[in-house]
Amino acid sequence: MQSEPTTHTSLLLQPNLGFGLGLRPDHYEALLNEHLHSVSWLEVLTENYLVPGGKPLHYLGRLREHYPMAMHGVSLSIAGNERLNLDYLREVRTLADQLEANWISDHLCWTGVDGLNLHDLLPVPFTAEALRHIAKRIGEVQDFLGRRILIENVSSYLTYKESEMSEWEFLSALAQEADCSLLLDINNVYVSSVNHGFDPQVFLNGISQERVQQFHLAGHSKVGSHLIDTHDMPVVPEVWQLYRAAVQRFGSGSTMIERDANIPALPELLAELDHAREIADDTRPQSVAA
Amino acid sequence: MNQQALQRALQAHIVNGDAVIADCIDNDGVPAETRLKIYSDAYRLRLIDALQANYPVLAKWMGEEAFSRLAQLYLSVHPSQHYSIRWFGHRLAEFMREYPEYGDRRLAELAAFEWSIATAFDAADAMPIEIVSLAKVAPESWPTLRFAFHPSVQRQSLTTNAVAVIKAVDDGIDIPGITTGDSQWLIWRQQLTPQYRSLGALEAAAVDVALRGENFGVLCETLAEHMDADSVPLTAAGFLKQWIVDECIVALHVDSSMDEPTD
Repeated sequence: MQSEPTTHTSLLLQPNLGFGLGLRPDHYEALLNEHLHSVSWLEVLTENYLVPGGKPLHYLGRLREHYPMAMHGVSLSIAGNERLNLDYLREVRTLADQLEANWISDHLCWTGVDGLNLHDLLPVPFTAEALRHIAKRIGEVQDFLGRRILIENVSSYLTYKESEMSEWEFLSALAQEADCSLLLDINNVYVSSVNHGFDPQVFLNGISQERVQQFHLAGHSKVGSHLIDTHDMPVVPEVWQLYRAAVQRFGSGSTMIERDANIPALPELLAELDHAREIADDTRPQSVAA
Repeated sequence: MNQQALQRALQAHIVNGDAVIADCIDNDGVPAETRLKIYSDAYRLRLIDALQANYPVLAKWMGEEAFSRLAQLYLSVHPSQHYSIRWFGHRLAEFMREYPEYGDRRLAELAAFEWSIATAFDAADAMPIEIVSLAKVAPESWPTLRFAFHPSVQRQSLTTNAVAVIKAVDDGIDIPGITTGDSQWLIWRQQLTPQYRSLGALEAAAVDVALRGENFGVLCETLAEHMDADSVPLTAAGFLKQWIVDECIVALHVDSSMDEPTD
């Protein structure tokens, strides 16, 4: 007899944290001093803070006194075929407790097999078999962490012949089956739409409205025939346009900008974040009127 | 192909260039090989960058091309197995010692030294004691006194002037030629910043004894093997004071059985 799936009811509704940034060491001091409280929240890269001590944890603790935080990981390998790494999950849980993190997210991907970590977000075949496998693992992770997690769509550069459904059908079915939330990366939707020739609006329309908790915005690069999710450039107009469409469909959600290379001074990212705010305000006249 | 086989095949392509996966990839518009190459190129670039972040001086000294060759060779022998890319490269110094191609001993010693600095950077936190703590130790307890070092404290013994390379790269001056000769080093973190300094032979011996968990009495006996017995207490106390000033000591422990007043 099958047991009832666990529903993490206490965490079904997370607050909308507003507009935030991915925390990067270059901005530690600015966020604590001249630009204190310039953003509503920070997303921290989980693995960078799973260290014993020193500067990373020092600044994390100080910043947490001023900003709510969500944790964003890259090594969960939720689609992997290895056993879940419980040592890793234990560390994630400890950090989440210390930070009183609003939520924990990771990607719809696998990172390696046979003990290796390729440190990449490798694509998943969109099959019923993969769906069952990943949903089961998300359930195990949520039980272990005692909270709902968010799963993010990745940028991809290949698709598998074996896929039986679209990425958006897969994501929506997965969120339903696993009872998880979604982190919609608008740039990733756009990058994959160009790389695989689908309409990004169709992607958005295919995602269950009630599952989306957070948005990522980022820049990318064009390399030959493909767009690559490099996070080293400003957000492009096409992605802003898609963000507008996403806000129309899902509401503004908690929105943040990711920048991982070619990192500018904080004011430049704050200006980009202002643009996201303007789009969200424009797109929700009912909120403005209120 | 089931999921596990598919993942193994893609990994085999990324890591070794195995071609089996290509038949499983859509070819629409862009050939599967082109799509796969994005992943295999990104894998190498990402891991080379990670190694460079852990070994900035070594990378700068070797130059981009030579360091990239080293990184790819290392990656092929020791691919990452840790959930955090921060630990990629933990066996680089050991790896380099085994490859004649990296026969300049300074390269491997520099790698070992830089890894120690990286380890000190995010080692566990602990509150250093202050010099006043020594005054609280009863005179009869000194022989049993043991020292808890800050978790960042490490020792390195070098046979070349590898540290001179670090200093030269930091200062932007010409890198000196190789010279040989033994030197002893202490690496630790003060507040948030990694530090290192050279140790004389006597202090190195004293640190090593103390790091092994031996007490002050044993530390003095060790020093007495190398110096005039009358000078030992002052010298040993001087070392201890310096370690405390440097913020290397986080606790003093006295053997409680020895605390009892003696007849």
